[in-house]
Amino acid sequence: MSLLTNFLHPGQAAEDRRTNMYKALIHWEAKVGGELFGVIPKGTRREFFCLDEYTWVWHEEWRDKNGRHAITTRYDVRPNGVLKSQGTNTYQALTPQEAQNLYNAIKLYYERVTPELQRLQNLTQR
Amino acid sequence: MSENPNQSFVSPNKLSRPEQADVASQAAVRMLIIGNALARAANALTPMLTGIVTAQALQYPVEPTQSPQSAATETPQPYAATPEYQAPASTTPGYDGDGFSPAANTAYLDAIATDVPQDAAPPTLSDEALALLEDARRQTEEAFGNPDNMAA
Repeated sequence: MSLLTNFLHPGQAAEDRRTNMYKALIHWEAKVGGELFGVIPKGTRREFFCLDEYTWVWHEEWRDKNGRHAITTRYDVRPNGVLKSQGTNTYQALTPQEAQNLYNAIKLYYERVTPELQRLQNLTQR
Repeated sequence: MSENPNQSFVSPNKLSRPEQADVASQAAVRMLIIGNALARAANALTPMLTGIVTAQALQYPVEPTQSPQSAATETPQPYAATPEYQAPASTTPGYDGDGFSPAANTAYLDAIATDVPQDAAPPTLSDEALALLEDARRQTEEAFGNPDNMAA
């Protein structure tokens, strides 16, 4: 953000700053979320985060002898179930075990992330 | 499991006053979104998880029950004082009576790490189990309302 933009459009600058802060929070949550599932192998990048009220995302990148790989799994929460999509637009229902695992992961994510968000929320009250 | 579960987003000392206000407001937004996301996931997944238990229970033969007629002809037994109730020992691995142990949690989460990206198998529930899940979902909705109608 340039000083000129800040000067000419102060409201826009504040909005951009909030947007960037929001993205930074999601990046931080994704990192914390990725560490919920155990030690991350060297050379692997793993992220798990809440995109919005209806969507959870798992992203994993790794490299092996066949080159670099990346998988993004998206879980869409519907009123009567959760659907999973990977890469394409096709959806699959969760297996019972995967539903159990996802539920445990979401609960743990909430437990790990919200204390820090609570602390940040209180920053201006100090 | 994370070696540093209490890692922080950023030190407040590194933020200017306006940035502190921004991060506070955006953290509040994230709290709300994550809280609602957790509630929605619980509503969506609980019937299915309940269905797992139901489907597992169906695999066991049902013991023949005493008919009302035979019960009526039996001589009533005097009430006998029972010893103090002792909860039966749990046979669930990792369950200590108060909750699942961290080790069991780790096992669950390790399972996710290997299962989720590769697992593309379709669900294997039978029609009967699916019907039970639908019944459970309907009963939950009747009891607690449609989660889509919940106030955000």
